[in-house]
Amino acid sequence: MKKWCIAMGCVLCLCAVIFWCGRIYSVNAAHTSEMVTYDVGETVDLEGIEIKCVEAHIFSVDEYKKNFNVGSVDVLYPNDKLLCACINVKNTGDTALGWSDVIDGMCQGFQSVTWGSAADPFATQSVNVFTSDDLAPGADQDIWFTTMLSNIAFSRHTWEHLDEEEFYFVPVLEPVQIQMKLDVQK
Amino acid sequence: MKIYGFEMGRAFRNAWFVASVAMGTAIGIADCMLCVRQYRNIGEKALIQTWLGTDYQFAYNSLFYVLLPLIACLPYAGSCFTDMKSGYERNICVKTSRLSYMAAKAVSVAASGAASVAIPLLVNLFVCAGLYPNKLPDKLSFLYAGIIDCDMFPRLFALHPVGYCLVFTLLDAVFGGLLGLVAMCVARWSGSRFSTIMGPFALYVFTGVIFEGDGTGTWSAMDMVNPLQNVVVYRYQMVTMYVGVCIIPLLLIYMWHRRRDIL
Repeated sequence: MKKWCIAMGCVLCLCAVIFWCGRIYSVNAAHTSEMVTYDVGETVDLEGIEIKCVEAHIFSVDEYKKNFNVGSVDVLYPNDKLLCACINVKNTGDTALGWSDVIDGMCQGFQSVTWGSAADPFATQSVNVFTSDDLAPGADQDIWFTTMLSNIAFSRHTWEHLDEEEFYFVPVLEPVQIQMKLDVQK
Repeated sequence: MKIYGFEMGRAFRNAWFVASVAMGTAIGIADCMLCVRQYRNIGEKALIQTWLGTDYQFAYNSLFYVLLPLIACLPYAGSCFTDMKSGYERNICVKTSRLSYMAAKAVSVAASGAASVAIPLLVNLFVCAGLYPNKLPDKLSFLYAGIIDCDMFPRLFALHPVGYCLVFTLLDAVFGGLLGLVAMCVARWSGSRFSTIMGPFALYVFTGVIFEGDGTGTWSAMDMVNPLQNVVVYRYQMVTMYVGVCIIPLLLIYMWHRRRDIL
């Protein structure tokens, strides 16, 4: 009787495990990838605006100051770097778009396979010059976005080989995440 | 070799092993149930967010990793003390050498400790895998464990989350086994089975708090074995800790038992 009970228990456990394996398969089969990757130079259509990366750089603090002619930069450590991307935005709709809506709708941050950081729209406030209150239909504008690359967020090996890393600009997170590969100029 | 099988049998066929695994599994299931209650929509969450090791939302991760030494030592680590006090080891040592007995004891203590840590983590992973899809972690939504480039195994976490879970399960299991060896050492100076089991726990919590560090590198084992990696751990620190926790107890056990008069 005891052996029979043990055998039955084992059979029941096995059935439960097989059932759960089936469930694991179905849960993962129903799930689809939620990320679309665009290659360097490709244009991304975001319902009403088209965006395209014009250029991207990794600057040291001094290089950043010199390049953008700014007085101070907000970094954690003096040897931190800044990842900058110039994005061309074009209004493909038939109504003018306010700059806040444009920027909110097209910039979530930057990421690589092992790192991610939100873009800081205020950091490039003095760099970006807007000549009108909104983006008129058919008009386009280059906008710089930047984020800090702090050395404490990277392993020593990655930090020393940052130029070998692949960085992406992420304009949208939901419902499908979009990432645009950056051609970071050395 | 017979002594190894005999000690393994004692280690795995006892109520304390079942109780220890049940305790760990209960923590994992409670975490899973809380996740299901909070997030009924399966699409909202990912497996790597809900696995006990990388779930930072609820207290169960901390509970499991604080209790890890108890879970590891409860099954069989205390037997070193009880065998000594009850005179059981004398009966064993008339049939086999003292060294073989201690080696078999060490292996079975380590194996039972490793298994009692690994089983709850694997069961939890298996249960969660049937509830939530194995989505890749999204770094910019900040809803996942913050494993980035400076942490250990960031690429594995980003590209193969289940692999990350399995690697940390293995590391935790090895650490559980080593804690069993520490308990065997403690048995030399402890006055009861309870203190033999509680010794590694006290050491783990005490050093865990003391050596937490300043966020850039830590010597706290409690932080090292937690897959959440709340504090940056350098690989050399982890290797040093594992080698140290392995060699020191083995050395002490050998030195103590080499001349001890069992018979």
